[in-house]
Amino acid sequence: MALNFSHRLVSEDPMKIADGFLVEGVSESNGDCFDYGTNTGGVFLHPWCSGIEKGDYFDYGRSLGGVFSHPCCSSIEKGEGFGYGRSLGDVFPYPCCSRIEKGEGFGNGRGIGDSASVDVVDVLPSDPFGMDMNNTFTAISGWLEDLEANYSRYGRDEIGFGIGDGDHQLFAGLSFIWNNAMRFQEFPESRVYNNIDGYGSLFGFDEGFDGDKSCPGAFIPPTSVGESSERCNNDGGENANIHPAFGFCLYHLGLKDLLSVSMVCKSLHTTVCDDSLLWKHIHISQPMNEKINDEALLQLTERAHGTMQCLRLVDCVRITEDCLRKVLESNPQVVKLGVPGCIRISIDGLVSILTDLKSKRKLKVKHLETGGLFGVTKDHYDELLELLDIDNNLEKSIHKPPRFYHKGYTFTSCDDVVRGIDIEMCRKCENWRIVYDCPAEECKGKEECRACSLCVQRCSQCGRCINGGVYEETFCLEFLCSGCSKLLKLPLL
Amino acid sequence: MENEKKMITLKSSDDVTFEVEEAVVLESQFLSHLVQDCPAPEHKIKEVTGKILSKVVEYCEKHVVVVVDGGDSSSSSGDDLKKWDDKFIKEMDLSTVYDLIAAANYLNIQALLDLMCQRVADVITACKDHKEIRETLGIVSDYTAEEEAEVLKENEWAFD
Repeated sequence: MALNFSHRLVSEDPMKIADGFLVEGVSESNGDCFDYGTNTGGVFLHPWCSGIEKGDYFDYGRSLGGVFSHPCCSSIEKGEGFGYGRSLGDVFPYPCCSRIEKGEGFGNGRGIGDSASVDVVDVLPSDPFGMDMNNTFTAISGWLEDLEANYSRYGRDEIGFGIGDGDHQLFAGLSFIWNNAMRFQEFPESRVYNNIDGYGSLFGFDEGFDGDKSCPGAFIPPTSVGESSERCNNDGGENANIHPAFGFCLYHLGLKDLLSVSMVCKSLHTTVCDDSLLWKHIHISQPMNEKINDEALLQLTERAHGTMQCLRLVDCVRITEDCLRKVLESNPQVVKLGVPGCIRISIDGLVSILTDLKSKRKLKVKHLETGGLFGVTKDHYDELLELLDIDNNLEKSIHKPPRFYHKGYTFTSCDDVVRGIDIEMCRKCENWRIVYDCPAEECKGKEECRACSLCVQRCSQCGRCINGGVYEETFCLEFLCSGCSKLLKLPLL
Repeated sequence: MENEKKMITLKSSDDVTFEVEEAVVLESQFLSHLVQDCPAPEHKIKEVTGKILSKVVEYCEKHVVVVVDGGDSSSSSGDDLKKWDDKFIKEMDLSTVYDLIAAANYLNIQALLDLMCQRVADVITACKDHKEIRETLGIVSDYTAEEEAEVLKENEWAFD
């Protein structure tokens, strides 16, 4: 994603730390540390945060008024464990905490700070430390929007944040330095909760905030604690007018219908969002491919809770390499990966993503569908074979079903992906492209007809070669062989 | 064909009995294990009512017959079967479909389960938005206006 901050949440609506966390009138330096944890457990505090003198705090309660539901929570709720969330604790030196300790109660959501907040974008230098801003900012903006989208749901209230109790000292130290923290006299022990995925969440709140034991670590909405615990109890329950068997039907729905169903009522929302099996195979094609963007994809793939096995993005023109990288990092189980027609993903990017994953030992991809990316060189090809662990000779010897032009990649489902990699060298032009077979009887088995779509013109309907034959050119500049052209002729009115 | 066929009696929760051939019973994974493990002539299925069990038996009988008679002309009998399936599901209301899904799941008849789920999925797919789904399936929304706005916002990328 380009550095387009205009849509970032921060710029329009400064976020403030959750309900009741901030009291009004905080005007002193209010440093903010982003725990930008990755799967490797490395924690990454953003240096530029130290530059914020005032005001970047988060208010999830205000506009949303609900208990936060975190993707991780669902996993806990379902008993799947929290294993992939490496929770690192952190001391969160909020000046406001000390104030609150002195008097204001947590949890009633009073006094959400309204102090002058400065747009982070204005304050920040564009790239103060020469970091890879493309990645970083995409990650953060994705994360922020993720929060907006994800955390605002209060359909699932059984919040159980894994409380990391790791390196308090370390982070206290770091935060201390970065926040110029000498001026803070008190360090109420707050913690940062981060989830794994690199767009980790951070919420700090005071230890003393334990108004409701039944929901440890819950973010209490600016209503009352009691109400929230009530919600905790009610919400997991089934909607009375939904038949228990309805759940089976969800597996037969496409993405769009699944999202529609999630908006029908609370319990279906919970089901759709929490059932990681529904998201084990994510296949995005028409009509969602033009609409899906990085944020949406991250949100959807997060629902798989790291169990996703197949990801096919067909013609998803908005999906960027950074997004794909994050998705794959948080879903290391992906075996089949397809990005045909995703024009923002280049072969270089793809190779680099897979290489990085491999170096982190998170690469399980065995089937790669490139859809015939442009500019594939022999080096790329060899590298991909190595990354996917494909034995070139073995790959050649395995009998594969013929591939015809008209079938195109848009028609295949996850089960149709049997090849290790969909490109091979076209014998005519010696480029690495998708090579098609010819369905015409007279061409069967002929090597000269087996070529990429550039070397041999093919009928867009049946996929046969039209070299030398009669053909028709359609309005879309596709070719039709004479046979298909007759079949397709619409009766004139 | 007319040689000895082993008959098995299935009894529903409301004591409706169905006498079926063993081959029909074998369509259900659950029942085939049951029949193998306890060779009693009558099996009570407490979880399924007579109404639903009659549908299940109807489905299984049809499919067994077609598979047995099909022989070589599998494509035409496949088409027939598909037509029969279509007719079978069309004349059912949704609550029967749900019950049948539950029964197919319990009795472990994958084909029936898929068929029924697809039926519901088709109904959902035919709806143009979530409000229509609510009306069609008779689900009452328990969202407050605020909550609903949030959920809409969450998915707005897909429905603009």
